[in-house]
Amino acid sequence: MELLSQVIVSVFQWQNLIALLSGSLFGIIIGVLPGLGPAAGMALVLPFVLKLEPVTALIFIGSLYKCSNYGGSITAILVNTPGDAANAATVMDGYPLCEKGKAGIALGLSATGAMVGGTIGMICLIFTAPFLAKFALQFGPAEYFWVAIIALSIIATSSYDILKGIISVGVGLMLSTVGLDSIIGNERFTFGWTAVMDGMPFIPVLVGLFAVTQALVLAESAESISRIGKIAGGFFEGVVIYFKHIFSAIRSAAIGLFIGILPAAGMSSAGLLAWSIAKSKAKHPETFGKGNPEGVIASETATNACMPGDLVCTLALGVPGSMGAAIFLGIMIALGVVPGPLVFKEKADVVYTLFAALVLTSFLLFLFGMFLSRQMAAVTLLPNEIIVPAVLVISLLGSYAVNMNMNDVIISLAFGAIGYIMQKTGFSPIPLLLGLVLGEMVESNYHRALLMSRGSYSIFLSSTISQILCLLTVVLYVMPYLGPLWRRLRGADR
Amino acid sequence: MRFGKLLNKDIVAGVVLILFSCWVLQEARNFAAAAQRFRGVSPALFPTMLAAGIILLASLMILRGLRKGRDWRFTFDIRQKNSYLAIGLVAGTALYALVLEFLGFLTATTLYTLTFIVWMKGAKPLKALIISGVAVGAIYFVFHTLMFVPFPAGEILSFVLGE
Repeated sequence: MELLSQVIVSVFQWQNLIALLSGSLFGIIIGVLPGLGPAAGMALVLPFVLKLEPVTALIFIGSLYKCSNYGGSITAILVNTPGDAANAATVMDGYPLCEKGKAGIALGLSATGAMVGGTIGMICLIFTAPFLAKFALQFGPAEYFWVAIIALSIIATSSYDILKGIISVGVGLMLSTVGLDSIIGNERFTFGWTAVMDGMPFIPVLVGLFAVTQALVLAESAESISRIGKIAGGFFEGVVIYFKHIFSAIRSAAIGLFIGILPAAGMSSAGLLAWSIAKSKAKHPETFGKGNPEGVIASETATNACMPGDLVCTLALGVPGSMGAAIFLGIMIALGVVPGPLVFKEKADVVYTLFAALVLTSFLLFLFGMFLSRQMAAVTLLPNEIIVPAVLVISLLGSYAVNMNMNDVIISLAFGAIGYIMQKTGFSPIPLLLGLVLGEMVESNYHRALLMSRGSYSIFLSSTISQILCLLTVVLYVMPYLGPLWRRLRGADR
Repeated sequence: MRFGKLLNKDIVAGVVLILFSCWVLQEARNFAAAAQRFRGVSPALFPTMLAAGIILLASLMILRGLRKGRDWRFTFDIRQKNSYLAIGLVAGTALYALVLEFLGFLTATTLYTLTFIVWMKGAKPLKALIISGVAVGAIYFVFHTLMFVPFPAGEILSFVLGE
């Protein structure tokens, strides 16, 4: 009780409220700019943040982290470019809604998803964080390997063409092997180019595959993103649609929460898993990927519910679930809040004040969305002649801003051309991107597991968790063929 | 079999992927030779497995393409602006990236956006200059002033300022 009153007093101190407000606004701006995700945003404000009090600094950084994810969903919906990999699933139904002129509805869905998902996630975690941290400790390299494989399988099998989806994931995984390998530091596919020595840089690839490709696609037409030339449906229509699908939203929040507490399984996996499950449970799964509001609901709710789980993992185990969480972890250590199982006891006031502030942030971003959605949606009415150069310049600058390096701009342009060719030949860039993001997790855990078992592959099926995860993977690949086979067999019977 | 039947997206993509995977396999052999295998783990293991998998899947895609037949037609028409717009956009953006450090952000970006607005929209140069000036100013304010991203000042401005 004493802790609760201490937390409430701390959150409503004027400096913490200003940190909350400015962090949220800055986070949305950062998220909206393609290429500048939460990681780049936190890195940019680092010199300023380290001068603040630890609680105020963590509230600023925490709200920036949370709101940049929401900001990323805005670009995913409006210009088909996810601000970060976490928003990859939102693109699939958000942008088609926009093309139908329903940008306002899509933004309403995403803001409500961020509010509901974030609030459910935070409230659940405030009470269950210490227990969840204990469960996550049971995961070893083999289990992490399967978690990553499941996330990749979901995105591959949910592609329009499964074969091309799997190939796209494979190419993404192959790209993740560029650079020094994690076991003995052997150089692979670098050709002496220092820009890729630490691996294929993620942000320039993301900018190239989505923003540059999208600009090229838009350049082909002299119209605007909204094909009907107007914005039909408003923010509140999106809110109403959201609450009509409340059970789907709660299920997605539970998925996001579960994925969040698994160490090193990031928000992108949560969004994709929730999207895929929502599709499999829907009466008309064929409408997913073509502007089904439930697709946006599932991905945004899960992603935002995942973020608190990700934070618990970072706080309790010191294992970040994403690039953003890794920077958050570094900032916490720099501020003197050392993560570990004891942080919930020793720094309880700081941790729970941060949690309470993040609950407030969930409502704040909904208000931002409510007041700014109409203006933001107007982007879809601008002629492509204005949008194309603007998207190219902003995204390439976003790519340059991460390391202040022109090599990153060149990588973005190269991947822009690759993404354009992929689109023309029917390959989706999303599985490739996920392959690149999760490649390191797959390979390092695969190697670690083999080293632990002295080269025996039995380790991948030695625990019950591994067996369940393996079975789920098999089911994912078999499922798309079972339905038609069942119908054919029933047809033959008749 | 007529050659035209091979103009299928799956066949073309499949062949490119097989060639790419063969190159990966060749490169991976060099890692294997350079590094010691330790408890079944080597730097070549993962790329080799992936390349083998992609060769298998790309072969399936080629077979599917052969069954489907031709589905690709070249529609490049030199008289249509949209036919060479994508090529021009990639080339123009590559040129922009190359001259960005020399000309500096403000000059290079204004020229770049101005050119594309005039070319794509057929707008009057003065109107295009105002639009690109406002856009470049806004981008400069957000990235440079708000987020402290140091943009390339350019050789010309540095020379004028005597730096």
